[in-house]
Amino acid sequence: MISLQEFNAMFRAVAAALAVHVLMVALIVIGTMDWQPFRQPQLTHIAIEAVIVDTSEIKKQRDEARRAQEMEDRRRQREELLRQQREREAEQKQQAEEAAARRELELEAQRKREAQDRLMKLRQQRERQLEEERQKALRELDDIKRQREEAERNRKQEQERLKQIQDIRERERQEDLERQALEQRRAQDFRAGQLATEREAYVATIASIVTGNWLRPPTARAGLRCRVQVIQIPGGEIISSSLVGRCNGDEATQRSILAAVERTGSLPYRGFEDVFTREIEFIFTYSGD
Amino acid sequence: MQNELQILDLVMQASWLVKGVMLLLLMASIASWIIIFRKRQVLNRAEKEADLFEEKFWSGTDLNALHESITTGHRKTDGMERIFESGFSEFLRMRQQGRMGPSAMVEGAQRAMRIALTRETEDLELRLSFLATVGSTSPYIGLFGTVWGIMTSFHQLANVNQATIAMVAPGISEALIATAMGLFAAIPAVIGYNRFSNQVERLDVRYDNFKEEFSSILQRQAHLLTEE
Repeated sequence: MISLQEFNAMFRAVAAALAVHVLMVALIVIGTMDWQPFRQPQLTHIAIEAVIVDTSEIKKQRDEARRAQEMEDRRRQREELLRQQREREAEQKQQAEEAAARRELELEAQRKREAQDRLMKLRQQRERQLEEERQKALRELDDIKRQREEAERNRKQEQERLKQIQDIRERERQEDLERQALEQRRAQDFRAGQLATEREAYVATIASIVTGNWLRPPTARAGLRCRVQVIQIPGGEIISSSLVGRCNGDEATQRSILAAVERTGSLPYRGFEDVFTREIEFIFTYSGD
Repeated sequence: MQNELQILDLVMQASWLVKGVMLLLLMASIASWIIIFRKRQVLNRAEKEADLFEEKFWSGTDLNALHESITTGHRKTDGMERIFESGFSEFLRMRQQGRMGPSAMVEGAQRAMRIALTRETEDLELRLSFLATVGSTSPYIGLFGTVWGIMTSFHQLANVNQATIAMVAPGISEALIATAMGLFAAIPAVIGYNRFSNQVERLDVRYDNFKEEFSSILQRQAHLLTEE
């Protein structure tokens, strides 16, 4: 059983749905209002119409037409002849007029030419005068130019002389400088030589000390040549020593050389401060007693 | 004047099968619109009532009094009220019978509520499937009408020597009306279905939550009763 309320609600829903559809249909109809109505395509019947005609009548008509045509032609020829004659007369007249006009023109031209000649002569005269004046002006200009060039030349000579003097001075200064540099270099060389000799002495001292401390093993032979590297600290204390490069002694000899360095303990330092280096390399030699 | 009736003329000229399809679609459309309006009303009312009831329920009134007011009311209960009523009635009945543990009482109430909830959901979902059906099939029905209309209009061409586009065009145009109608029926139905199924789901979740909360309250009450 459906209550009244239910029924009411249902009825309202149905009404709303129908309203929606009516609205839709209305929209569609309005939307398609500008459509063109369809026309059924129609097949048109094409008919051929025919009429029977009499030919003799046509022939007569045609003859008449031809005759009229001929008369017309003749009339036209006559008119043409007349027209040509008139044209010829007109032409002759025109020619006569043209001849008269030409004579007149020639006379006019001659007058003009004479006038032009006179004018030309006058103009030439004036041009000649102008030319002379210009020549004079040019000559004056040339004079001025020459003077100026001369002045220029003088100035240049002066400058050259000045430059020569400057050059000489420059050269003298250069020579001075060179001389000084040479002296300086010589002094440096001297100092370097001094240092080198000092270094040599240092290394030789070290080598002699080490050699002094060397206890010769029996296997060591004369002609022994070993390069020894010593690392020291300021003060001459030896930190480590090693043989570098080739050494022509046997194992025992090499050990004895290192032992000699160790025994030395510290290298000479006082007096050799200038040539002191952390690494010292010297060649240990033994050439027999 | 004649132009206005153009489209209706087209519909009238269609073959009987196409006419039938159009009629079917029109009916489907009307029915789905009726359901849309009806459902909207029902669901909106259910939401409003759920709001009201929850407010009443959580305002701290005595549950017995609330139950009284609901059962003595002249109207039929539905929605959250129905769940509450069935659960609480079951609980009272169990208590009157006595000799029952609190867990058995709560379980009975829960069962009753679950049944009520299922019924409620069923009511809410009633006829929603019709909307889904209209939404998914009416385009095909319309298409069928169109295809049929085009078939017949081409068939009529077979006996003509000089076929022109003007001879087929009206037929195709009239056939296409069926597709248009199918779409007209389908679009609102799909929109309505999506909207309403979403709404029903939300209501369902809400009812379910309420059921759980209420059963926890009942459990507390049952323990209190047995301790006494």
